[in-house]
Amino acid sequence: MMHLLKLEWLKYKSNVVFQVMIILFTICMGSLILIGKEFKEVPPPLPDNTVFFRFPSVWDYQAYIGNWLVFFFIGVLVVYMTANEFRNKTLRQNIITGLTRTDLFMAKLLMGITLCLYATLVYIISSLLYGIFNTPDFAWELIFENMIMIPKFLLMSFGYVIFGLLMGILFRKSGLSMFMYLIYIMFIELILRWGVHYQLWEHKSFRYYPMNAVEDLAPNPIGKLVENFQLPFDLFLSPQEAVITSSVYIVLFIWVTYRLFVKGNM
Amino acid sequence: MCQAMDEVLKINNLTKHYGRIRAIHQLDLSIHAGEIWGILGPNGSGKTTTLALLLDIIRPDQGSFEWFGGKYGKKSRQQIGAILETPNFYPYLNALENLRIIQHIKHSYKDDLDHLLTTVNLIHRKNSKFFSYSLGMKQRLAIAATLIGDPQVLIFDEPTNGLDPMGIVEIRNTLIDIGKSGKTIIMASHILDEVEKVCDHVAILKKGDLIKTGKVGSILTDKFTIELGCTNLEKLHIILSDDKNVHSIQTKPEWLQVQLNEEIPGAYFNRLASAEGITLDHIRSTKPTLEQEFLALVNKG
Repeated sequence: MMHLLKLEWLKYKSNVVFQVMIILFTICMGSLILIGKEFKEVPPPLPDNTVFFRFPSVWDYQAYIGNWLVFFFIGVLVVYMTANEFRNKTLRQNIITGLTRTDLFMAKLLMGITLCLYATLVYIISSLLYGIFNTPDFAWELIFENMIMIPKFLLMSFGYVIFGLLMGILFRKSGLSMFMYLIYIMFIELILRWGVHYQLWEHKSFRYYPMNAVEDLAPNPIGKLVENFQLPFDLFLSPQEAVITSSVYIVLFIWVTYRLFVKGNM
Repeated sequence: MCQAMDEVLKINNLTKHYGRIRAIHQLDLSIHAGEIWGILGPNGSGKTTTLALLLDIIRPDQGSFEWFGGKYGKKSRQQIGAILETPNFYPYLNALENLRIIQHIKHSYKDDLDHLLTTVNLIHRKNSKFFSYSLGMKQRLAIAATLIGDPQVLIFDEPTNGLDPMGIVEIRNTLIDIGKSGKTIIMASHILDEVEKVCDHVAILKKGDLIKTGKVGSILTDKFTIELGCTNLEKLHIILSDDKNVHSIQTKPEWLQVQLNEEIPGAYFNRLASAEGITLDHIRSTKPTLEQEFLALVNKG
């Protein structure tokens, strides 16, 4: 496994896009929440703007920011890393050189997992630092109150990464893959859920779409406080529902991606 | 028994279609250690498809192949160095970084990369990014990459494609040198002169069918021709038509071009004509080139 991971590292350590995306993700993840300092008055039911930075709620707010940042920086990076190898025909050269198709799939998957672990590590460190220095009457026990967000953040990151990998191998052209990745998450699934599914059946099952489930692993904390949006049911999936639904889709995406790697022409 | 042990590649009934287009049809071929094979054929005959199938880039519809007497697994992959179509490397990495990736995949860390780059005359550009290379330099880097791990088999698909005459000579000499080292080489090309100079065996493909296979020598010598001229070509034609050594006769303005079933010296025909009272004033044996033979085969039917 380390051999495959090192192979991906050799490929990308000097890649400018890779470096820029990782640096931007890290900077944004560490700083974007500071915008909250500018909100001197916050809408009810929020008490004040310290809620963004203190334990235990900092885990939720940082996770929500991470939700957008992983979707954009890490997910797009994975699409780029996959589709670019098709464009340069380096995946086929890797096979010619001696990798099996399963090796190739595993290499990409491991690189994706590593990126998720990195994203989660940045999330943990930034949340801890903000929490420790901004929680009034700080006590170490407070840190652990909402730590369930850490595995949820990791799962959410993996959801974006595996979807990015799937888009990369499915469409193969960098521009098209990235366009489909972004457009699906930002528009297509929304249209399918609200414009088609909900219009036809008016049933809460419209929440169980793949990327919505992944998003609901780290939902908008303010949105959760506001609740319902005049719907007869909760707009967001419960944490348990989000974990189970996301996990099912992730397994499905892994299987489809694996089949495409193993069975498709390179 | 010994021959079977030396068998590097065995292809059985390999078939591949792209939609309705038949790319390869029931291909059977056997290649042994140390042989240098040229896969010949016009554009679209299935050369690259055959190599892509053998390298697991595309999947066959039917049939199978064995490398080194077994499945194309991890071990056998390490024993093959190949270039398929254009050289494919990471454009933002330099030559050394790209070769290190190949080394890593092949678990072959002992190769002297500087020596390899010197062999292909690329050492002076080893730190330049791949995207800045000319086509010839890319091709040379690809050849260096195939040599990593000292593989037993080398596969080249149109290795001199797009090169200038100097580049073609350079690559050809490199291939001849590699061939002398005893490695098995499989080379797809439509440059017949190149194949004739480098290869000892050929397989000729046409629209996905293997139409001829064997040693270059045997392919060229199984049809000898001789030109015979005299004042009475009509009578000579009648005499030759009854001869069992004659395969076919073509009448040219000055002489008859006689295709033979085997190599027959000119003196035989001189005697034959003299016996019938004809004096031959033109006798010339010709051996067809690979190009002539190839064109004859490909244009047939």
